[in-house]
Amino acid sequence: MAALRGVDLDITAGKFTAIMGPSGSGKSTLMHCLAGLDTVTEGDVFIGDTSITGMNDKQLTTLRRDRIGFIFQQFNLLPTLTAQENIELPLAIAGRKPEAEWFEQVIGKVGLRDRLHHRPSQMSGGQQQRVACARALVSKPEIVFADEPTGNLDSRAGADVLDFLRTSVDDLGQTIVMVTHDPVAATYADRVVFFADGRIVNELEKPTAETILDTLKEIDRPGSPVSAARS
Amino acid sequence: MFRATMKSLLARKLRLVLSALAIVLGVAFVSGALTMNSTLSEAFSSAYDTAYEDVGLQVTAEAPLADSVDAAAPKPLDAASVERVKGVSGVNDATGVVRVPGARLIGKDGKVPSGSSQRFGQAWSDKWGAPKLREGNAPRTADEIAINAALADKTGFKPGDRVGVLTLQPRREFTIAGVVEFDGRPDFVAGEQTVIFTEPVAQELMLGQAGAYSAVNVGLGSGADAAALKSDVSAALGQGFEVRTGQELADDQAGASKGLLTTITSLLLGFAAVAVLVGVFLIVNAFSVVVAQRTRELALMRALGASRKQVRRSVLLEAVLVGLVAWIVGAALGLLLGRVVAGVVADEDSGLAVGGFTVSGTALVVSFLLGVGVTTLAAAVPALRASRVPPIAAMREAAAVADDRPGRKQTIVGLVLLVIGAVLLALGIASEALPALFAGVLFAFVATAILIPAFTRPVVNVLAKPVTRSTAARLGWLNAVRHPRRTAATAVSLMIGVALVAGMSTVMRSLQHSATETVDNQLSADLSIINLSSGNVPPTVSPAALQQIRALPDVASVAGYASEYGEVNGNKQFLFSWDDQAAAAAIVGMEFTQGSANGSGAVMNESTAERLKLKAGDQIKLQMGRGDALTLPVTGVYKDTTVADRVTVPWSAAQAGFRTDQPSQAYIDLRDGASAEQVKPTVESLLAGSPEVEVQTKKDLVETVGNGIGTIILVVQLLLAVAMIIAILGVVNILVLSVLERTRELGMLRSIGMIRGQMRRMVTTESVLISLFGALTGVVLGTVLGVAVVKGLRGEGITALSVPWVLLVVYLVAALVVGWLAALGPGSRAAKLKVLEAIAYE
Repeated sequence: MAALRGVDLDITAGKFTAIMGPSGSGKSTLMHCLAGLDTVTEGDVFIGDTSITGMNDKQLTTLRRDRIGFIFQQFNLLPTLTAQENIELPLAIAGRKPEAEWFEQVIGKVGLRDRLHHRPSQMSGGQQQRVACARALVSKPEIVFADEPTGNLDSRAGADVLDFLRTSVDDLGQTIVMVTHDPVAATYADRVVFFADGRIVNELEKPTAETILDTLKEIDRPGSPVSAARS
Repeated sequence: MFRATMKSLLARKLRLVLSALAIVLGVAFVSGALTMNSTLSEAFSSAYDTAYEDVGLQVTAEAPLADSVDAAAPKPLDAASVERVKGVSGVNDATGVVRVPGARLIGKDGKVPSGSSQRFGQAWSDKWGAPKLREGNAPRTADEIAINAALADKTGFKPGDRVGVLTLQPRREFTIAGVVEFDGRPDFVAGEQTVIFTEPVAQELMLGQAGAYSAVNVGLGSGADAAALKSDVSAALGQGFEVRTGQELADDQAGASKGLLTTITSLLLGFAAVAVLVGVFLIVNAFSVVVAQRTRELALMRALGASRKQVRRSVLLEAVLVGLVAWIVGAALGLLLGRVVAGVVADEDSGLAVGGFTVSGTALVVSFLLGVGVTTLAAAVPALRASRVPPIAAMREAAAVADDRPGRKQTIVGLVLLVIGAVLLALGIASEALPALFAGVLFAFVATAILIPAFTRPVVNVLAKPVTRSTAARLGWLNAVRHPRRTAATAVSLMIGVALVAGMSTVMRSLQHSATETVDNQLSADLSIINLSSGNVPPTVSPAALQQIRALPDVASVAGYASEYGEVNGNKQFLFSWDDQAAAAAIVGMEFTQGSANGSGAVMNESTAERLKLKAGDQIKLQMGRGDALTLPVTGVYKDTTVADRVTVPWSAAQAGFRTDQPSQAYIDLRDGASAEQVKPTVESLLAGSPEVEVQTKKDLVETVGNGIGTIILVVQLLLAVAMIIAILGVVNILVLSVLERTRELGMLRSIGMIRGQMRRMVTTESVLISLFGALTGVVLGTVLGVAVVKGLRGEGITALSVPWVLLVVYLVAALVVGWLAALGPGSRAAKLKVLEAIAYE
């Protein structure tokens, strides 16, 4: 069975897009395909003007390195490196140096200036995830993908991370796609795309917690066309 | 609990297989050595059994030396003695035979054909052991001989050819009358070379006495009992005779042949020792990791009510099972190995029939104890650690429980052992006491193995300096120092092998250097006539040729030399003799402190005189291989020279008492201004009749002496090869584990843009750093200990210190290669991880 069916989605540059949907709906698969981690069997994926369909492993890897940023639910920092080294890792892998001004700006936004020489084991979960955010932004990617970035955090630390993502869109013009099942997290986005059974089933602009919850209820209601298709 | 154990075993099979491989190799080497031994022993025994099956009893004259040596000539039985044996009641079928080692047929290339087996000279006899003619006739005249089929095959001679034969006398020419085989066998036993003369010629050439025999063979009448007849004959003959049954004879001969196997056996056992030693560390390491990984699982079992004992047993059971599998595989491999080596050895001594396997019970038992015992013992410490996991650990993060820092207690114990080792070494060096020296080496070894985690981080950090600029390499370096204990334990397996070989090479190289230096400094001969690869019977130099050499205008003096074991005042003693004592004194640089060498008595160096409690003017009782005991005065004592430090007896005594009256080596001093290189060909041409020896200039001789030890050094390097192969397994093991443990990290690295090549480079860097660290520690430890041993052995003739720098560098390069090889599998595994699965990995 195909995980995604006839999905046609445009991500607007400089905007914060959230993808929501029940587990198994295909939202993670969608994000993986968009990010060049997984390949589509049919159709095409573009980053900017570049089609990534048909790229080989090396091309995809370089694409991810230079043009895409990632934030994971599990933070995924290297325990052997300090915060600063973790942040600079994508650039180091590419053999480049960070731009000092941009680096300062990102560090300032993420509020980690006094933690730069700490190792992940010496930091709280929220701090670790902010390091991961800085890592995603440091190489000035065209797009940042965040996979349940608040899933492992308490609400306070989660709010810090979401604030940071919001400001990086507003102040730095960053494009962000976030997969989440948390309606509160989704309210930080400019647009929410709802997903079920490998299809886009709804969309909201300027969402609020209430409109999001209503839409989710609608999707999950027995007898709805989507539920019928599933059973 | 058993089911849980099996499950955990299967889940970690790759890792356990890798660590068990070291044990498999150890078991294979041990059981291979033992199998080879039993297979060949069996073959030798059955060969000799059939060879002597016609002989009821054999009567020989009692050898004059109590501890008869292989090379000693048999004491001849004169005709009267043979008649006495014939006259003993109950004996009705007795024949005097001549069969003595030492007849060397000269091949078509002018050399004596090679072979580790005996070269017999025998009298033709129609009676006992009558050889069957394959071609030609029996020897009928004094200048005819028959040779055995093996010798004919080896040399390509056939009946009618004129050949030269060396015996007690210099080369004599004969015509081959026939080629023989024994009782339908293509050959006698163990590829021996046999020359058969007519009886009078054999008596003259092999025994040096007309009408004499080397033995009397007594046939056993039907129904007669060999043992009973033996005691009758012994009683009737009384003192001066030795009586052995055919069976005893076969056993004695087979026993002597089995001596050949010792070298190969000890080589294989040496490999086994290294494999097992390294294997112990691999097993400890593998099980420690398994226990650390299973911490939560073990804690859960404890929380569910499993006792400490049960937990401990479950780990030990795992070890026993691994050991069992290793034993079965290793023993099977060993049987094959043993059979193959036996076949090769037997082939070398053609004519020995190796029939099938001889699986000795010893091989199975010893290898079982080794395989299962060592594995279980090695797992004991991890098992104990497993049983100490508290139930509460089930609730904690697994990583928090695994303590990976070097323990302070461990460091203190290591330091204490190191100090003890250093003190023992210092003592050993100061007093040249071997036990202290070797205990010191052992302590230092163990101390280093214990201390190694404490200095893993700093040393690896330094080693990594040149590569930290590349991000992939830098990450590999950080991974290498992430678990210092684990890195250390892996490095130790490499360290042991390298340290062992570096140490042995240092000692051997110093020995080599000392030996060549001794020859170079102490032996003033310009030309030496020697044969370093002598068989059981010493080679001979024609005395007539020596006289001709003496007459050469460029030659100042020549000292012919012979040596043999004898007894001085009842002590077994290596005896030297020179045909020109004065020339010899000059050539080996004897400085007399008491008396002088006037040719009428024995002389010796100071240490020997001290050991035998003798001084100039004392009388000694001298017993040699032939003849009765002599009483001789000690006429002189000289300073130790290291080249001639034995008892030297007068030439006349040696000619009567040694096996042959010909010298076996000779040393030539040239007149001033003469060139050794120019005289050498002349000397060589004069020695055409002495094909067993060669002429060497001093430079040649130094090289020859060095080469002998060089071969041993090469064999030592083989040990390292074995240790390295096993160490690769250890490194692979730990890398596979690292890759598995860090799956999510690796997935993250791939997703943020690390390409496959960089992943490989990261793993390779970690691997190379671990290997290099192990090898470096080994090189340093081995060299330090080697130097200490050399210093401590200065009294044993190792006077020069020579560190094999080139070899040491080669070891480090080899470690680089090992690291690179070990990373191939795990590296590509890391590179080929599915990014999505890896990020989601728990």
